[in-house]
Amino acid sequence: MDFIGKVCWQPERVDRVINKLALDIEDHDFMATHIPFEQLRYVKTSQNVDDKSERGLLAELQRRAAKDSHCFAVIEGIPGTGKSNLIRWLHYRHQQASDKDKEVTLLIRRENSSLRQALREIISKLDSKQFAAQRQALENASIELSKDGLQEAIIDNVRIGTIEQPLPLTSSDAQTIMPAIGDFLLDKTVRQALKAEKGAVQRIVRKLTTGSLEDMRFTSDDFLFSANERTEIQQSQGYQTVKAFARQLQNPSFGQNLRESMARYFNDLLPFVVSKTSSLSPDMLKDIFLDLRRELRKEGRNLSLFIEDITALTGLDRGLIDALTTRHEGDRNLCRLISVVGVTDFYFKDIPQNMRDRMDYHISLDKAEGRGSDLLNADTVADMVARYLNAMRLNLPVIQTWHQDGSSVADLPNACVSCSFRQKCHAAFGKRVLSEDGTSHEIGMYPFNANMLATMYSLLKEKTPRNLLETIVIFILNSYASEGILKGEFPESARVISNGFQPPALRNPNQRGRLREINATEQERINALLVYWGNGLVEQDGAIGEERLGAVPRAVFDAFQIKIDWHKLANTALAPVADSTAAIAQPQNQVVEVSVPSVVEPVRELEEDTPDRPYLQAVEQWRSGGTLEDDREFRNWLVGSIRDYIDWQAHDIPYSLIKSRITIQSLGILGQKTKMQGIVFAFERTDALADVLVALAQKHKGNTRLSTFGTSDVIITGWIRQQEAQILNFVRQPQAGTDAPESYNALLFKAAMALAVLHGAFEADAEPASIMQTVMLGNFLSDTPVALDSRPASWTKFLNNRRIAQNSPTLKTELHRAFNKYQGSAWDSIKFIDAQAALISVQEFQQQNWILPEMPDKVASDWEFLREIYQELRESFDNLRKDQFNVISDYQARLEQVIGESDASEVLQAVNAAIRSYKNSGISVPVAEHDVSVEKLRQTSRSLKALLNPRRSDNEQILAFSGCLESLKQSHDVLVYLEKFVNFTRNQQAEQAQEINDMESGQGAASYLEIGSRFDAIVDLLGTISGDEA
Amino acid sequence: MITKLALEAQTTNEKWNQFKQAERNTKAVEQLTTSLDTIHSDVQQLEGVYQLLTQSDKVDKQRLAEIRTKIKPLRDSFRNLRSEYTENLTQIPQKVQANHNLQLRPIKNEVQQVWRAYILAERKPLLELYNMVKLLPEIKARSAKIEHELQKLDEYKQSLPKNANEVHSLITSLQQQLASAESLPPKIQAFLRQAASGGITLAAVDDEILAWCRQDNRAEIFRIIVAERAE
Repeated sequence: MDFIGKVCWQPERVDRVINKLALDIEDHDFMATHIPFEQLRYVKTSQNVDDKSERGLLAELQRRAAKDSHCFAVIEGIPGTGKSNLIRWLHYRHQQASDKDKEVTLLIRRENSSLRQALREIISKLDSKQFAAQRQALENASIELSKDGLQEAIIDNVRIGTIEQPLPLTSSDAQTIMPAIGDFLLDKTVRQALKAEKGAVQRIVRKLTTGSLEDMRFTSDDFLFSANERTEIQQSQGYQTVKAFARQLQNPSFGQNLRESMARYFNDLLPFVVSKTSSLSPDMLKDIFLDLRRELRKEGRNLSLFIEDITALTGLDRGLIDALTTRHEGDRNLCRLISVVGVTDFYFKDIPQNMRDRMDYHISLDKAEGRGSDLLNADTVADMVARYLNAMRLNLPVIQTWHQDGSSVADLPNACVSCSFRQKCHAAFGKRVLSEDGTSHEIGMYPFNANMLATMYSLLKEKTPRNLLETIVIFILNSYASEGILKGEFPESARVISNGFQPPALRNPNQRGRLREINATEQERINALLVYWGNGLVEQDGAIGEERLGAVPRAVFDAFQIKIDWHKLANTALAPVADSTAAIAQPQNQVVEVSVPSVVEPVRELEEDTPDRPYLQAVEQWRSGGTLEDDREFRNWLVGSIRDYIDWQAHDIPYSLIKSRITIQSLGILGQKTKMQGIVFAFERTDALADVLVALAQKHKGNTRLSTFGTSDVIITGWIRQQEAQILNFVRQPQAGTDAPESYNALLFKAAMALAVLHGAFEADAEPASIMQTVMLGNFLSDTPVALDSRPASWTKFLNNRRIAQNSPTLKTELHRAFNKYQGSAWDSIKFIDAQAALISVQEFQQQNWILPEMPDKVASDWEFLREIYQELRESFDNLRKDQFNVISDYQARLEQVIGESDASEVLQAVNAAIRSYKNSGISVPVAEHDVSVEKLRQTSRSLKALLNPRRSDNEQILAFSGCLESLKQSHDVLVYLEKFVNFTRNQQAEQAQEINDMESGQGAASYLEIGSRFDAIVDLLGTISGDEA
Repeated sequence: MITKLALEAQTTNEKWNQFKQAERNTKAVEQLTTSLDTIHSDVQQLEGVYQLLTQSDKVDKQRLAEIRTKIKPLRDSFRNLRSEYTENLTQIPQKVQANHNLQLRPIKNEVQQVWRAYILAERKPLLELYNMVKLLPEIKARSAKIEHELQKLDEYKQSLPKNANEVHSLITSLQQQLASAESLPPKIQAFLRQAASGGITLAAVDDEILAWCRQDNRAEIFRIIVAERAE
């Protein structure tokens, strides 16, 4: 049986063995996979510790326990550095070594270690009746409120906290925060926002009730409200102070600082809030612990407490630390206490100095500088993964039995021992020799190898054991390896197995072509093996049967079912190329016998941050289907190379045209990150182009020491030569390469001619030369809205149609590009119009009676604007012409109807007389006398007749329609004048006739005659009074 | 078509202009007629009142004479308007209205004041007479009618009556109804006034008075009441 496509681990054991939380792993797996901490960094120690390993620390704890000496040890580290692992191991080994009758050993877990659960765990150890009171106190401290009730209680307690512990006035934001904070925390919307799922209040609730692992502290984002919340606060009936404060919090310029101040302040209040919410004060907790220690003392027992993460007890932590640091030497009623507490470095910063002073040991698992862990190097990475691989390969009962027998490292079962492929596998993938207690185990690295793990680990942003296991080991085993190996698909590609980091590129990207030659279909898989498992070089060596490619043994390729014709490969002599720096090639045996001091160090010299490295990675990512980053730079290089390498003069193309056509805006690469608009000549995603991009990156950014002088140019020029015809086509005219009906230039010109007609750009009697000039000027081609009074509405609508308006500027630009020629071979910008070609287009189109050719439905992207214009024009041009004809016909019909058979002079004489008559009667007339002259009326009549002359050819009529704007306008004005007069006069006449009729019937002459007698009667009466009757 | 229309329009417009002028005249005649009718009514009312007042001895004759002097120019003014209205018809209504407002109305107001004084002067003695005898059995039977007419007479002081003769008739009616009281001997009249205004001592009642009191069922309306001797 061959060593091909084997899965020697038990896939279902992967998640059991590797759990991101050390305390979740079952004890047997934990002990089987535990990697010893060999070099702990003591930041503080009460006495010199020679043995810096975990065993040395355990010995210290045991020494102090034996001497009845108090001990308070703090292990600090960022999440993932192994605090839990170390503490759990210390707990296990300490418990194993202790006399259970005399030592109570407690492990307070982080996961599931809500305050309530942590306290219950302590209670469970207090079986004496004398602890009834303490037990009750702890039970009372349980969080029994409903989730919503708890949230409300927390916010209320924060508010009370702001009263009890106001922000000191010395704080710069106190004057902003304090006047508003009380009402702010009472505002309904604010409370709702603070209670958001991911908000601090919910985090605190989760911490208190379920022991969530998340950091419950307030952050500035907790006070960053959504747009809806902001609106709701501002539109509510709430206090103005709250609204103003909410606005300040969201202020784009200083809101962030204020929010951070708020978060700091609220975090200072957290102990108060937690204590208040849980009804358990730090002092109470301290008392309970001290009672516990007193009771244990009475029983003659001591206490060892291992707390994975003190932050689980936030709010009470100060009380707990106080209890842990109280020494029994000062109070003989207390039992001796050994405590080991894990803290994150973030938390550690907040521990007051007086408490730090009381630490007996302060051990840091962090790097001395920077973020990450100092604990892993290339060796320990491989060792660690080897242990996990071994545990995953072993059957559960085997490992459980080993654990029951004391988990002795010397007796650790080794799955490789019974494997028939052991020798071949270890030779191909390497092995780790795990030595402890004078014994050693050889554990195979399959399906990884040390180089692959070290390389990947070096690419992790945060280099911690947890990240190694989660991001690399679990990810690859669970997602790809188990099934992939069986199917012969692992590794699929370097990109696929790189979880959240960029895979390295080949050390010499110019060798990419070789991969295709070796196996085009499997090139991505081979590449993955070379860049991770191997040395990144596409170079073959080794004797027949023991060939290696890129330092990866043939057996590895076989195991992963990657077919390589080794015989052929040997004949192609893929020896190291002279320019690819053989001097830095890694010794081949390093793959399995790697003893790199630390993987933090670069695995390969070429992977140093040389200037071209990001570009090479970008190309590799793009090559394997990703997006091309930094495409602008690449396109810029492409533009330069294309401009330089093509002999433009030989093709009679002036440089100024090159400058306008070959630009970073006009050249695109499919899959590039930047979106491009307009006419783009896009290069497809091909390996050849990827090689060119690599060559360009090396040429422009490459390390001069390593640059493949000349090689890049060869690759680039070779590729450009292949593309030259297409590029020339693009530069001359963006030919679609489709079955276009006519040449691009002719199509451009005809479209512009048709649009010029509709814009009324031609004179009615325009000669071809004049037409050509008008079209070439192209002033009518713009995307600004067109308003054509006197034209059919459909003309205006058509010209303002989005596709016409938007594409017109492009048409103009293209027209100019197409017909502007350069003088001789001068490489300057002096241009002349290619009048001959333009005139041919004019005449051709006229001869074709302005019938626009049909464009294919699908054209190249550069033609799309033209296709759209043609589509619109072909659909509408004839109809628009008919519309214009109809408008003119309508004008003529209306004019005839108005003036009838009368002569212009006769018409206007009568009209003017009538207007005068009306004016004399004080009647306002909407038209004035003599607004239309006799000549104007005659001319209108003549021009309308001429426009509709049936003897005109299509060409004459189209030009006449284009140039008839003025006469149309005049006709329109004359018609409007006459029709207004007619309408007014008709109405006026009707009204006057009616009035005359009314007046005739209502006229009373008799009343007029009676006036005199009325006067007489009055005069007589007055005469009677005055006595002057005569 | 437009030529014909324009020509027709001119014709129609001219005719319309003529009718429009006639319409304006008609409107002026109507307006003038209305104004003159109003003025005629006012003058007629004034004339009736003036005649009544001139017959009364209870009005200020001097004042009436002054009013009369103002009537003459008003009459002249209307006479002038009468002569010119045919020529200037459209403007006459305004002038007539102006005469009405500026001349006739002030005269009317003055007459109104004289009229008010006249009514009050006529009514006062009738009221006193009535109060003196209103309890007498022969008067009491008619007291409602008398009181109504006194009230009506009082109301006439508010404005000039449409018909001055009605007022004259009313005054005459009241005088007739109270004529019997007025014809009583002065001694009896004095007795009645005193008895009606708080009582009279027996010492002042002589046999003649007593006998008159006992006549025609009058005894029932007089009572003897003991009173303290007046100081």
